[in-house]
Amino acid sequence: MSKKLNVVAVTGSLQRPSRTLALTEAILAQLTEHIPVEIRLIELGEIGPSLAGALRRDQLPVSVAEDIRAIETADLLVVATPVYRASFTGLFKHLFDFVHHEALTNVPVLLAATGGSDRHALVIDHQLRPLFSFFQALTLPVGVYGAEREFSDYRIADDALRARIALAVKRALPLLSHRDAAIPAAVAA
Amino acid sequence: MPTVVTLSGSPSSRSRSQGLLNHAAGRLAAQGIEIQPFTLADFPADALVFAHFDHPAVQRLHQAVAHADGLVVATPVYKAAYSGALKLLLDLLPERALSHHAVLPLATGGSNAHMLAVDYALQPVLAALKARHIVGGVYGTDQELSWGEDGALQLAPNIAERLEDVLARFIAHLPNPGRAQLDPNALHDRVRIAAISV
Ligand SMILES: Cc1cc2nc3c(=O)[nH]c(=O)nc-3n(C[C@H](O)[C@H](O)[C@H](O)COP(=O)(O)O)c2cc1C
Ligand SMILES: Cc1cc2nc3c(=O)[nH]c(=O)nc-3n(C[C@H](O)[C@H](O)[C@H](O)COP(=O)(O)O)c2cc1C
Repeated sequence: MSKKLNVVAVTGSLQRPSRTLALTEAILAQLTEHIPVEIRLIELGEIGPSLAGALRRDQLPVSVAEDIRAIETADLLVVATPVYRASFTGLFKHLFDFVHHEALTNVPVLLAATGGSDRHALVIDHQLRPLFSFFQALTLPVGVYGAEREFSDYRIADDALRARIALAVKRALPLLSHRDAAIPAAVAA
Repeated sequence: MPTVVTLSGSPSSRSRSQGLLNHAAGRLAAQGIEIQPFTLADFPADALVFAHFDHPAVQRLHQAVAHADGLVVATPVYKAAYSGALKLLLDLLPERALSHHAVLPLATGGSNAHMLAVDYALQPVLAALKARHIVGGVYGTDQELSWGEDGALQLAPNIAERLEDVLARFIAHLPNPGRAQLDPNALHDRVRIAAISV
């Protein structure tokens, strides 16, 4: 892969510092070690105020509309959310509610989440995976879940978590490719 | 006297989920509740696999469930879901079999990471059987459930406490409140004045 892979990362935390952001950055760093990538990082905490007030796409500020356009044209999505009430955050879902339902077809999506304890680790497979399955995206086989105890000072502080990140990326690599040059008509419109 | 059917979904002979179920059944029996236990061993393999509704063992289960007020199901977590063994038992139940029942799920797993299997894998199946009320259950890990010298399962204090709490709730939900009368004339005056549509 000589041309850079267009990676868009969405991190769902509403606060900063954020474990979810730390996890996202670690995944992106791991990717960068293996393949040439161009990264756009979307932080929900930053775009939240303008996103939350919008009910239709034409109500979004230009910058957020561009973020959504970036999601819809990415070669790879890395999506991460803190666990709220055993699921993704409301704002995370609200963002993807704006994404065109055909824009992520066959796009690889690496799923990630952080939660207070191990008890909600299945949000990856029971909440995030079905959402991207609706989009007919290619949810990657290994998702990454991090619990609070694996972070210290909002930085990753646990080798098992680092190993899971490395595994997720390693298993993702053979499945990554550049998006078809032709954007689906429904999206281009 | 209320009656409760228990279904044990572990194929293991020394089973933690069965042990947890035994604890629950013992506590319920101590409250004067009649327990009707069922396990895989109560059914011949072909009756299970082909769900032979006319097999005497399956009919006994149907009778027991039809007359029970509640159901306690116990399962080990296998592959991040309920066991196939428990599903075989649940597949023996007729449609809407649980529409009059309060249901209590119990599960044990190797780690806490699969706790949500109860909410996301098991609960939808109970809901599909039209469970009248599903009480929040108990999830215990293998570290929290150890085998004592006497061969009995020892519950860690947090699990024992949780089980007590959950059983109290389950017992409170055993009486079936039945149905509301939806004839508007039968409704309380204040509801009628508020013009709440029914
Ligand atoms: C409103 C709210 C709800 C939460 N609900 C859960 C939950 O259901 N399960 C869980 O494991 N953690 C829960 N947490 C904890 C966060 O998921 C956890 O602290 C996460 O690492 C925060 O990520 P951040 O630092 O990126 O914001 C909740 C936190 C908040 C603020
Ligand atoms: C085939 C098999 C699959 C298992 N899969 C999981 C799993 O996905 N998640 C988990 O937490 N534990 C898993 N375990 C561990 C059991 O859930 C755990 O030991 C449980 O307490 C066993 O209950 P039992 O003694 O009633 O059979 C598995 C065990 C077996 C034998």
